[in-house]
Amino acid sequence: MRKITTFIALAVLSFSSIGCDRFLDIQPEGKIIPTSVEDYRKVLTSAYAKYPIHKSLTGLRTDEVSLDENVSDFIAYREIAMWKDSNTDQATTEFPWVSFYSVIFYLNQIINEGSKTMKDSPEKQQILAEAYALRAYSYFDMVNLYGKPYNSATASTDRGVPISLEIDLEQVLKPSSVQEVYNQIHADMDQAQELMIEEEQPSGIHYRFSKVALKALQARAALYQSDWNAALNFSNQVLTVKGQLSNLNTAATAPNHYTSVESIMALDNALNTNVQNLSFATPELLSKYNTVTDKRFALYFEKNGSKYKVIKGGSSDFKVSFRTAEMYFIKSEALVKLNRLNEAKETLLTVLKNRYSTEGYLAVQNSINPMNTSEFMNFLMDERFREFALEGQRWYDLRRANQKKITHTINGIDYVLQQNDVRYTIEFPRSAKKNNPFL
Amino acid sequence: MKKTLILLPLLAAQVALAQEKKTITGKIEDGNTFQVMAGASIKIETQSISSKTNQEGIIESVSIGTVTDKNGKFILEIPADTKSVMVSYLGYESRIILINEDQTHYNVTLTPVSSEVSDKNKIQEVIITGYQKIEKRKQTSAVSTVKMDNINQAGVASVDQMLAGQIAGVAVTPQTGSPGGPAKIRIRGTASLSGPQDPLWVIDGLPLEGNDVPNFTDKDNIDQLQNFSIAGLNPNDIEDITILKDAAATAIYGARAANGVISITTKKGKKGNMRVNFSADTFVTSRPDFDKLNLLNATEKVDLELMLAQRSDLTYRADKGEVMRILMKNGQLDTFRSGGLDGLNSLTRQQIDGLRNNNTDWGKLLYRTAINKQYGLSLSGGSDRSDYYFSLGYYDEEGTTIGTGFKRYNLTLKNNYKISDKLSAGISIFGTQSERESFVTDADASINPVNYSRNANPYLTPYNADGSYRYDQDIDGFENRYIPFNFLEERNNTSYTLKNQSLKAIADVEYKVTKDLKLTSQLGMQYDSNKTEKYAGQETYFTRKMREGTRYYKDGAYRYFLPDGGVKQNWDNSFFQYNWKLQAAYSTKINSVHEIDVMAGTEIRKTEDNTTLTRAFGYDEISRRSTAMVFPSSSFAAERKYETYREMPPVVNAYASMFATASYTFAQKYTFFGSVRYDGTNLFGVNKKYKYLPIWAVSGSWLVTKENFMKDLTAISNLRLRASYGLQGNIDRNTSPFFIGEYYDTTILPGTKENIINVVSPPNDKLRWEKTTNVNLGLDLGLFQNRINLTADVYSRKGTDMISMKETPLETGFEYTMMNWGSLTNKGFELAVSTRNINNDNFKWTTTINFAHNKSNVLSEQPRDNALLPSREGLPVNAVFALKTAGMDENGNPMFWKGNEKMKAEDFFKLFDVYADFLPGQLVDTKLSNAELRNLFTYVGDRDPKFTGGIINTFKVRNFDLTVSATVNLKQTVMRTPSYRGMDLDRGRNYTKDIYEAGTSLPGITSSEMDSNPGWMANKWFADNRSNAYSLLDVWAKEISYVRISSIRLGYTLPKQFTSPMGISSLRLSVEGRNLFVFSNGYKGYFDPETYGNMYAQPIAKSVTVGFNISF
Repeated sequence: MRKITTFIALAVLSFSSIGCDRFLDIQPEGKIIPTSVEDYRKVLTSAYAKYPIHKSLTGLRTDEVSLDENVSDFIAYREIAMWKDSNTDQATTEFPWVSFYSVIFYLNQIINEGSKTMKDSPEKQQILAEAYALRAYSYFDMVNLYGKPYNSATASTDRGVPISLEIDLEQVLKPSSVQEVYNQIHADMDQAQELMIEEEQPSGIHYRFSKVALKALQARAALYQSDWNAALNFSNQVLTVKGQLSNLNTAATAPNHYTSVESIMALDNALNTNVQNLSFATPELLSKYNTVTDKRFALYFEKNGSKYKVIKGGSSDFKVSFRTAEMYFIKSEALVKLNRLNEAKETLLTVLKNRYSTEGYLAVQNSINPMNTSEFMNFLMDERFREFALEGQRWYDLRRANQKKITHTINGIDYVLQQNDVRYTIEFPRSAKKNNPFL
Repeated sequence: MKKTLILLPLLAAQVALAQEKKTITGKIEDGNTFQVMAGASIKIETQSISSKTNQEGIIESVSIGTVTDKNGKFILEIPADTKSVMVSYLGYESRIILINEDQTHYNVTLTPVSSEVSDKNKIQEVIITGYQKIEKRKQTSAVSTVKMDNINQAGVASVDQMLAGQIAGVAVTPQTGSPGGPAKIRIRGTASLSGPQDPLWVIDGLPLEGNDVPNFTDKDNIDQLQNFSIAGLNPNDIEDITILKDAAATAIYGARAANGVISITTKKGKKGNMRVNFSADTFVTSRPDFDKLNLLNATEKVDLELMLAQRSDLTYRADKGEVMRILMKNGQLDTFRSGGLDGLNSLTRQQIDGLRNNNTDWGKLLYRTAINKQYGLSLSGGSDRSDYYFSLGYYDEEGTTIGTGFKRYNLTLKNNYKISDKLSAGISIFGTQSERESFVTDADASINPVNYSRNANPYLTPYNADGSYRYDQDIDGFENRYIPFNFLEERNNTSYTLKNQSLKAIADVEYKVTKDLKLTSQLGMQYDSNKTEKYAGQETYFTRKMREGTRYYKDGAYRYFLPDGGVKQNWDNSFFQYNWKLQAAYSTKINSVHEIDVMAGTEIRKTEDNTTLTRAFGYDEISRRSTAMVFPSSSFAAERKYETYREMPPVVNAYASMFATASYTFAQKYTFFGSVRYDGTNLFGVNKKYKYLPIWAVSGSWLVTKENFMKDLTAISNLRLRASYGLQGNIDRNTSPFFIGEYYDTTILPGTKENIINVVSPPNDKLRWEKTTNVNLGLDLGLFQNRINLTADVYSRKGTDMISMKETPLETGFEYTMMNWGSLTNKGFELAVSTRNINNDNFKWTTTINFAHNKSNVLSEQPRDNALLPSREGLPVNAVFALKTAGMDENGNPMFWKGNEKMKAEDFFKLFDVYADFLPGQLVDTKLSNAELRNLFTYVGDRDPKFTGGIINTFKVRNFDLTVSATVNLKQTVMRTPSYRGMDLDRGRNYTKDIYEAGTSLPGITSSEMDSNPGWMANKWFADNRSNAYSLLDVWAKEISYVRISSIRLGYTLPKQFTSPMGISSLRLSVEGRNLFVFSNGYKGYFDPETYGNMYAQPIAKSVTVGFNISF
């Protein structure tokens, strides 16, 4: 009898003290705490995959598209086209806020925690570089959505967006100034520049940052900050590595296609399916093209009844963040501002040669030659309008250029965005305000 | 004497072994009637006498025993050292009689098994906690037990609903009247805020998984079919139910028992011949009274629309509603606005008047009277060595909402064996198949059946003249591109089923090591297979809407890539758990004064949950084949909603626990009890210090009636005082200080699929343990030979560092996280009184009243800058806040009280026109800070009822019995969804008659357009849902109290003299009315007071049941 008792006592004891930990040590299937370079690459890919599709939405606020009121999604987007940022309908799509900060959360995790656990290697350096670059890109996009256009005179008092660099769920952040946000963007770009290893990313995964993509971002940031020397410098640096243009006289797809020779980085879905379904190109946009000699027209638009649909989007094939042509445009604009008009014209014509038919190009060349600085600047902006139609550039161009008056007709009613309207800066979304009283 | 008596075989009384013998004599009588019992058996129970046979080496085993003669007398020769003999008789409780050395004559009385336990025996009653049986006289904790016979109701699918109003401190609220739907159960208020708030269900010691009730004010949950394992249990198999309420009682269950434990003991076979019981019930559930919703009829709705059409300032969804469509189509809108009805041309007038005659009775189209049935058959019996119980059950309920139903088949088998004097074992198997049925409603909120019946215009006819479906032009969400919707078409062409197959098996072994030491082990298993199928045919709103989502533009035209045919989705879920317990219990008695009971044990548990989802598009019902999707672009192909197969990662959890209890009783008066448990779980990524959490409790009781000074107080037959204190802890399993990722895959650029890691929940290293202390004081009092029994308990629970889901600033990257937000108390009392008012042979009347009060109080709360509502400090945890209105102004806009000052909304909220200079009328904001906005709200009441309880009266007059059960719920504040939104009134839907009060006692019909409207700022503010202000106006709040007569049951048991000759031991006929009456202070606009304010809940069924129960 005693034997049995002892045996049971032992069994109970061993089972409870030794067996327990092993019994409880279950590595859940499909779950992981990332530590290695391989893990963090997947975390970073997740951040890329979550990058907001805000550029499609900004398109609705521009003079590029008019809405098709017969599409089911119309109700979700019409108030964006009405520039109605407050008191919105329940169905109205919000501009992204939490999705930006969700991406930033992943990047903060990589930068703050991943840097500690990843083994030193070129891969680690590259992951960190991309994380810094993508964080800079996120804040750059956010400050240009929700903050006033950069103006060095007022930037330090203009309201920007809150900067989150730590993982702390209890922090309630105040918005930083536009200047502070740009300072952060530059700090991150500098970090990225120091660490970046890949010169260019191979096609198919060139949604990722590389040295050349980072330079393209630096060029664009300089452009938006009117830092013309830097803009010229960075665009030149990009073009020495990647200056090839797609000749639309022979190309079968638009130059924003991810396989195009022009594609530097292809992360942004600048015209997603919903918005493409919903929109027609405006007569104003269409009228800017010479439908015969401008080879972009047929690659960009397609007749649909009496109107034109935009066909350079609507699928991930047309993802684009930076492409070569933009660098020529930045360079040209910088040269104008630096009073190097002839070089500016020459730079732009390099692109246009690949855009127009031979006779069309000659006509354009002839019209550009006599232009003075302001005439050429206007032409350049029109050419940007044509070149980057529905690629998510227009809203930002309008903001930093003349903030012109735009009229949209919705359900038969005219809605007007006045010149220099405050709504050229988008209100913080309702969901963001609800959870943070400082917004 | 009974004619069905079966003589036990005469047992050999010869004793071959030479040993000392003695002879005893005696008489056996029926304990109730004192009639002598012939044929009762007397034998030596605990041992067999072996006798040598002629053949060498073979020993014959014979029992010593005899039976009584016709005078109930017996003579038996037994070995002189025999300690006891067992007296038994079919249908009676067996008794063991101790043999004294100098006594040779024994008079023994036996009591029938079925008769109610007499008062004398009550003291031996035990409380079954699921881990141990505690004698009731040693009870120190707050525990209640109900017998299933007393609460069983026919026509109720699951036992949870039957608990309503039965036990003090157990609040049972039906959430929806859908068949097989669960009831929300709260034991002593709400303990934890983060985790499940539902009690733990335990069946014969096996804790069940899958009984957490989701929030049913959310329409996605309410339309979702879900299996609750408790609904799979056949109520007829239940013997009794024990509810463990305080920490001393629940500590043994660990953290899972934070919300109390409901422990079910199922029936087992009783010693004796096979008993056969068969019951059949038919219940008629009546169609709900649609008039309760108080909706406008066709004429009233047309008049409302005409009134709205008059006003050009109302721009919200201005083109909706049939009247507006007629006016616009005929170009008569301006004419109407200037000249009124008289100005309209005759065609328009005719069309509008035509609408008035279409009074569609949506109530009849959506609801029905249903006839349902329920059958039960059980066989049971047993011998001294084993017993068995076998039952079959069938339950079939059609919902009063057409298209819904619940069906269940049960098979139960229980066997217990006494293998030797030391070893016994038992096995139980519970098999269930159930089927829930509904139709697909999840494509849009507006097509939940209850909600749709509220919204559908009364003039809308479901069919066109040619018999085809007429589509609702006003269905939400499709401003200009409209998708045809017809409720009947949707119901007919979709199906939604959940089939559950469940098997629970429990094996018990008990080994008596010595007289005092007992080892027990239990292995319990639960397996559930849930197969959910949602099917929507091609001609449905669901499929049409999905098709719209697949529209793309190519080659100059819109195309759709959804193949023709239906859409079928299947979720295949399986759940498995095992639970293994090993326990040792030691109990001893020293000098009849000290009683010691010690128990220790370990338990391991593992659960696994697997789900796969498959989808078929372009499904053809005849060929049962689907069509592959051809995606026009890679981004469509990557969308998860078009996935045809998906396997969720299995969810595996393991638990290992150790527990011990000790009890010491002195002189049968004072009992001290202690209980401790350590729970370990597989917390992945959680700090090690949170891996094991201790839970303990101590308690004591004093049986006052055992004291000498109580001897003369004969009026008090029983008095016991109890006290307990315990600590419980909890940690959120899903929150980790680390980044915990889950694998997914994604395609960012076409052709490159990559694995990614997504974060599961926000990493939070600041989360601490949630701890709850629990104090309980109790009193059990029996008066006048226990004709009046009273149990009273007061308790106080204090929770610190309570964990709750909180909204986070979005800049963290997350919308919600778990946080320690503060501390709170739940204090209350419970009172249960049962009285036997009249107790004659021919007339018995008993009354049971239970009554409970619970009040929660938030002691501290971490202030949140982004909170919308004021701090709850000093208020209940479910405090209802509202904006105090002061009537309506001349424009119908609500006025507000600020202190004693009456003010307009603009001033109350300090509103201003943000772009007044250059874009007036566009944007309204407040000058108040968040904190100031919060302070505008006033506390108006507690969402939890102040008092809950029940009253049960049972009458027995000769062969008739009548039971009337009522549940009581008093003073519960509910905020209903606004009956309409005055500033954006949608003329495309119907409203309740509340709309007639618009502008007087309720907010007026106004506009948020600046022109012609002085109150536009307030309306814009309301329309934008800022501060949730419109929904939180105090006009929508109501304090609800109700008494529901949940059951009136009349039974008639046929007299024995008729049934006995037919070999029937009992035949009972019954009629039962359920939920026939409810008394309340008003629930206008809703079906039931329980679901007041909920736009989606199905009505609670009213039914009348006719049935019989027959036993052989």
